[in-house]
Amino acid sequence: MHNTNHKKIKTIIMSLLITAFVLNIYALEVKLTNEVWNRYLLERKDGQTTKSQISLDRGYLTLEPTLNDQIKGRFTLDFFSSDKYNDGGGLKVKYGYLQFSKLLPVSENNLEIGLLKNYFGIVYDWEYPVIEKALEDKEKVVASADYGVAFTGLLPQGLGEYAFGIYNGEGYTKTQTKVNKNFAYLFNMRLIPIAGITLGGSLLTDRPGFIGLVRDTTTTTRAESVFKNVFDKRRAFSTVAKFAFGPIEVWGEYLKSYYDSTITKKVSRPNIPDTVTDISYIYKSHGYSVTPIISLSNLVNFDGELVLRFDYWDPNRDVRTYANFTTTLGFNYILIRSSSASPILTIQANWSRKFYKKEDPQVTDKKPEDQVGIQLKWKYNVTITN
Amino acid sequence: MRILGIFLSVVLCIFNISYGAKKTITIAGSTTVLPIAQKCAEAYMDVNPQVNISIRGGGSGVGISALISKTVDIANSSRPIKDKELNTARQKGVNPYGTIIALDGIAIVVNPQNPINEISLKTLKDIYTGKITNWRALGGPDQEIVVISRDVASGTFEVFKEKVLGGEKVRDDALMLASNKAVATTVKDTRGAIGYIGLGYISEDVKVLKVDGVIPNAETVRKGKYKIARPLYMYTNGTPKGIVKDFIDFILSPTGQKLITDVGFISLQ
Repeated sequence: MHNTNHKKIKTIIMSLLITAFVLNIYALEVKLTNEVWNRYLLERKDGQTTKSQISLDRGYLTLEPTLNDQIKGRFTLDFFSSDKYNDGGGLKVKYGYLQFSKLLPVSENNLEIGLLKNYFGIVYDWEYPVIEKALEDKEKVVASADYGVAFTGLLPQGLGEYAFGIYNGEGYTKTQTKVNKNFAYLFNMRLIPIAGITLGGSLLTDRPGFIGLVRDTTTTTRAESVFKNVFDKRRAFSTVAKFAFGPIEVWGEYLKSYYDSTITKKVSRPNIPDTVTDISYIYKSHGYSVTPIISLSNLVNFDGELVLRFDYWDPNRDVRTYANFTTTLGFNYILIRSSSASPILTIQANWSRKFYKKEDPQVTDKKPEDQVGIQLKWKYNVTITN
Repeated sequence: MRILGIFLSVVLCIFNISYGAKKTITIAGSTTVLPIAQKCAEAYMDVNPQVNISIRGGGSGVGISALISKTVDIANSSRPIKDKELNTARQKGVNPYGTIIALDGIAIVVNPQNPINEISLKTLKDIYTGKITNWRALGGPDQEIVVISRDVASGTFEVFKEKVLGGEKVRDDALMLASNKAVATTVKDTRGAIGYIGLGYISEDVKVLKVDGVIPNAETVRKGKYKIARPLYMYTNGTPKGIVKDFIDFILSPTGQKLITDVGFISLQ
């Protein structure tokens, strides 16, 4: 199994490197970016340490060739710590798309084709002021990238931005038999009526789609063969508000999602008629996330940020079992900036506590969970001009 | 709630500490605007010794990024702000406000030993896109043309690309340099070289070519006869205020505009 996966990974790497090499020959310029996150994480629950480890949580290697004035490409590979393989490392293809710009004679607009950003909620421009992902990514409502086509653009005079997208809908980690036959549709709009106030929302809707009769290798035995049909119906909605005045910036998001997954299980046994069972799972989730950030650089001449984040998430409103709050207190210290003021080296320190709603008797045994994270985040880029 | 209380207390303390910060203006961006900013800053600080002005180059794109990140008070730029930059800035609570402080022509320069005196816009485009590679094609010596350009962070490069190349790609073997000064020096030292620089960087070390029969100077730029011309900007977060306004007002004053002429650029009046 591991060998097969490694062969696949090697094939992917080789294919991407060859493609990138060929594209770079023709490129006007190539921007090479490397972003690495070295993280220490301590997790405690009920007085016990459940995790204490140092890991590489992100190792982005990005090539962005500019083919001409209107066409750019982007390839991002993510090398990260993982226990799925014997060598302790994992690889993801995060982005791989071409961007065609200036298609319409209006404010900047782009058509992106390939494995691209999911322009939903705040996931596509979340800058990780704390170590944790954006709420929709953290709770797996949507993936941060997906295969598809997106048309993005800017409103004139800096009044906002928009995006329309058609995606596989299952996210960048799911391909082949894990992708259903219907596309997901995305609409995203952000308005900036005055500088510092951004209001917007996104809708992602995925129609029920037949994936196919998939042999379930996990439950198939010698005595019986199990096949699964999966119909997923998914709808996610996000309302976004961002405020930025002076040294204070606040990101806020309300998120709502409906997920209906019906699995048709067909069991075949020798000499016995097949049995077919439908199992339906419906999740109606909602929650919010608010992140105030205070920049210290203009206040005390110290290049740092204080961050607070409040999350509430109810994964299933009908059941009310795991509704939880997470409070995070963070501190970022930017040690090195580039000439254009982008952070090159940042130290992040976070403490967060997750606790469960107590109104349901079923959750009284859920003890608060504490997490302390310290992360070195470094990123640099070079532009090579042919 | 207790955590929120502690957080707000820290914020209030920080505001108290920072109240009454020292008078400093930080400026970054276009290397074309750099000599104007430096000359005017020196003169301004002579009469306002309580003000410290810190200036660095980097290119127009670098300056605007720094303004968006709120790490500078003024972004110098030799091109207008782009839609994408404006959108990002407004989301970050920055409202870029551009003040035109001077005018400039992008001068086409060659080595002084080059006998060529003028060039057409079309020929210039052909040279920079690689269609013409030898000075012989222009009636000059049998010598390879060494194409010198600015790097992609440069506003001068953006304007040149738009006004001369019509968005086309600069030939692959062009030297992409980081500043006007580097272009001028390389053209001076390289016999077959051609480059482009802001008017403030013209010296006797390089020869300025007429473009479509027009030499870049105050009159031809102001009247729109010289085609490769542009305004020069200072971008601030909102309309300039306080000492930043005072400094920009100084640049726009007759004294400041005289200094702009002194460093070789074209004043607004």
